[in-house]
Amino acid sequence: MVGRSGPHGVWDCTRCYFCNQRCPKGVHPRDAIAKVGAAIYQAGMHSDPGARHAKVFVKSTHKTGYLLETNLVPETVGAINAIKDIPFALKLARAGKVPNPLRPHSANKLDEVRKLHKLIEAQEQAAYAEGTAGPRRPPEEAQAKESE
Amino acid sequence: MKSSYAYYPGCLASLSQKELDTSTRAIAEKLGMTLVDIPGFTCCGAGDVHEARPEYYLHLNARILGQAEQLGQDTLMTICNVCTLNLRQANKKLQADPDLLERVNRNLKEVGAASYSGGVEVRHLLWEIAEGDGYERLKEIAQRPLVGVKIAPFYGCQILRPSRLLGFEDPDRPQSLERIIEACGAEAVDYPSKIKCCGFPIVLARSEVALGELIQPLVEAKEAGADAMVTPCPLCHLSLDAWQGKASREADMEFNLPIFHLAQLVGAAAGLSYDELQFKRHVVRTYPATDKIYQGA
Repeated sequence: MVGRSGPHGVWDCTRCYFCNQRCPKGVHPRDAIAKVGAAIYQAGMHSDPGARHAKVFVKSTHKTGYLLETNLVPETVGAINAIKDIPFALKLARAGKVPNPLRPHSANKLDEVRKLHKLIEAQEQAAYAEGTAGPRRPPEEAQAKESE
Repeated sequence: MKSSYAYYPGCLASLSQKELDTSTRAIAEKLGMTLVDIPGFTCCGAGDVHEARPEYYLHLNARILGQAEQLGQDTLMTICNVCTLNLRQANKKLQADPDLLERVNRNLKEVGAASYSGGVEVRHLLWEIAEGDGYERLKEIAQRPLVGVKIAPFYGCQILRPSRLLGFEDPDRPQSLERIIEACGAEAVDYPSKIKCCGFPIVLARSEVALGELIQPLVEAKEAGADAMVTPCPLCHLSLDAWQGKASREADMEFNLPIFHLAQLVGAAAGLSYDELQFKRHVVRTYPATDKIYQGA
C-alpha cells in the first residue's frame, strides 16, 4: 500500500473517468483506484499532497460545512510552497476569488453534519474493531441495477 | 424544464466563484425557473471525500437530497460537474439498495437530519436548457444574439463520464453546449480536447501533470480561433481562468482566452449587462470578447 501512496500512485489520478468509460471489461478502474485511495487514507497515510488535499475537504465539511478554499494551498503543498505562491494568491484576491479566511462562511444546521461525521467515524471504528471493516458490497440485485 | 427546482450551488459558486451563482439566479428568472434555496446545504465532498471517506460522502449527499425532498421538490438543480456526479452517484446507490437507504436514514434520524425516500432527481442546468421546452425558452430569451462571437465549448469530465451515472448525451460526441452557443447567436468552434480533463482535481497535488492537461484545450481553442471559452463547471473555470497564467508560462505562449461560465453566456444573450453577470470577477480579462458582445466591436 505504501508504494501506491507516493509518486505515480493513486493521488496522480485526475478523476477524468475515461478509464471507466472505455474499459471493455467493465472493470471500472477509477472506482478501483478510489478504493485503494480510501484504504490508504483510512490507514492514516496522509503524507502525500494528494491525501493532504483530501484531508482538507474532510476537515472543512466538519468545521464549516463548506470547503475551506483558503486552507487548500498551504495544507496541500506546505507553508514554504504556499509563500512562493503569494503573487498568484494576490492575483486571485484582486479578482475577488479569495474568501476571507478569518470569517469563513458557515453552513446552517452545521451541528447535524458534525454529529453525522462523528457518528460515521464511530461506526467505522467499531466495524474495524469487530473485523468487519472493508468496502461494503451492495446485494447482487442492486449491483446489477446500478450497472444497467 | 421544470417550473421549480431545489437549487444546489455547491461550495465554489457560494464562495470564490460567486459570479456563477449571481448569473444563474439572473438567468433562472428570465427562463421562468423558480430556484428554491436549500437552507442547510453543505459541500458534496467532491472527489476527495468520495475517495477518502466513502461512507461519510454517502451520508453528506443523502442529507442534501433529503433536504431537497423536505422542500417538496422532486428535482435538484446543480451548476457544477463535480457536484452533479457526486450527488447522482450517491442517489443511484441509495435508490438501488433499500437496505442501504434504511441504514443511512437511521443515521440521518439519529443526528436530527431530514430523511430521504429516494425520490429526487439530480439535473445540471446545462441539461435543462439544452433540449425540450428549456431549449425553446432559451431561444425566446436570447434577444441579443452574440453575432460574430466565436465560442469554444469545454465540457469537463464529470458531466459526461461515466455515462452510466450521467447519461444525458454521447460522452464522445456531446452537442449540448454547441446547441446552446448557437441558440445564443454565437458560433461554436470545434477542437479535439473539448471533452478532456482540465486537470483541476490534482492542480495542487500534481501541478505539472495538471498543467499539461490544462494547456492542451487552451492551445487548441486558440488555434481554432475562439474569442472565448464556455464551461458548465466552476472547477474547470477556475483551472482555465485562474491557472491560465501558469499554463501560459509553462507552454511559453500567450493565451489571453476569456473563460465564461455557462450562465454568463446565456445571460449575455438574454440582455444582462457586464456588471450583472460580474465579468469583472475573472482573473483573465474578458474585454476582447465582452467588447464584441456589448459593443459589437
